[in-house]
Amino acid sequence: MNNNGLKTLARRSLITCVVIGSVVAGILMSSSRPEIDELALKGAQQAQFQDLNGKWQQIASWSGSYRIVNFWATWCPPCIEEIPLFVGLQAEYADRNITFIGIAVDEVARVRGFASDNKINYPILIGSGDALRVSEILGNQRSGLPFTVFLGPSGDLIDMHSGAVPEAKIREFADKIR
Amino acid sequence: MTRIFVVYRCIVVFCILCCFPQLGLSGEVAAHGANEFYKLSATLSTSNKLALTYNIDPCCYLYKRGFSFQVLGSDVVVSHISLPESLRHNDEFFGDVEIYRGEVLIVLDLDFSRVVVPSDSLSIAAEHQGCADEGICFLPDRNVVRFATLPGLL
Repeated sequence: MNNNGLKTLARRSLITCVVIGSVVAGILMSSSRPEIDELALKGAQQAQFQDLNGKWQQIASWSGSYRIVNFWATWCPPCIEEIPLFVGLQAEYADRNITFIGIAVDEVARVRGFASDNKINYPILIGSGDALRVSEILGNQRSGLPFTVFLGPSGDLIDMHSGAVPEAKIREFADKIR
Repeated sequence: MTRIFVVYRCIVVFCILCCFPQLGLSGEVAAHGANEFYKLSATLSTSNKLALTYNIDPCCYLYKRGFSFQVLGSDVVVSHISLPESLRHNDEFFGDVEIYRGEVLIVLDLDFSRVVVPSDSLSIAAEHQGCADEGICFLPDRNVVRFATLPGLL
């Protein structure tokens, strides 16, 4: 192989490395969790919502415990499908520092009736468009329900899930806390 | 030399083919909000019929019961709503429900007979609610369709 051949090969190798590197970087960046502003994250956890008794609460009211915060609605089939799982796991994890929090993007009367009928055993807060915006700040890019975030005791965002959460994912989260 | 380039090109093509399916998948979904999935266009005819066309993304569907229409700030009333034939969909919790996919043409008959103060414009709020097949649902959404000039109608 002469000098020109080697130069051409080197140039092509360099271009190839740059192209492949860009593609791989693009894949990694697009599949990773969206960037979330820390201040906005804390602010979202201080947003006020009324609970089923009309008392104003915020996600931060349960600071100090690991929190599984589920945004849902009674008109959303995949949302209500996973509620019995949350009820069961909240009871099962009673001796662990884990609290499920439901934030309903819905009407108060409907949520109250649904919570009673389904014996929901964890805090339920109720909001409307403001609750959806909080979920968006927490990473709900598609603005859809259900959407669930996993928070640490100091409010750090550990994980998130769009759509019904697989039971295995919650158990994996809980097993790390034990 | 030629053989080296052939082998080398095969490696490059293989790497790119491995990467591209993932690129297409992640880019498509993340950029969309609910409004992107349900695009609405409207045409008002001189026979007082308003044709609303929803173009629903293939990923999603709309509930028949999720539609509602209201004339804003006017005595014009919606006297009749013509909805096309719906599809059956089974929700585990809601049972059989009626949904729409693809293109949906809804025709509203407008009654102008009660209008006391004529106006040159008309605004109609159209609400819809739907879900994506992947298992997420979107909040009821509202579009306001406004016609700035209505020659001969009001």
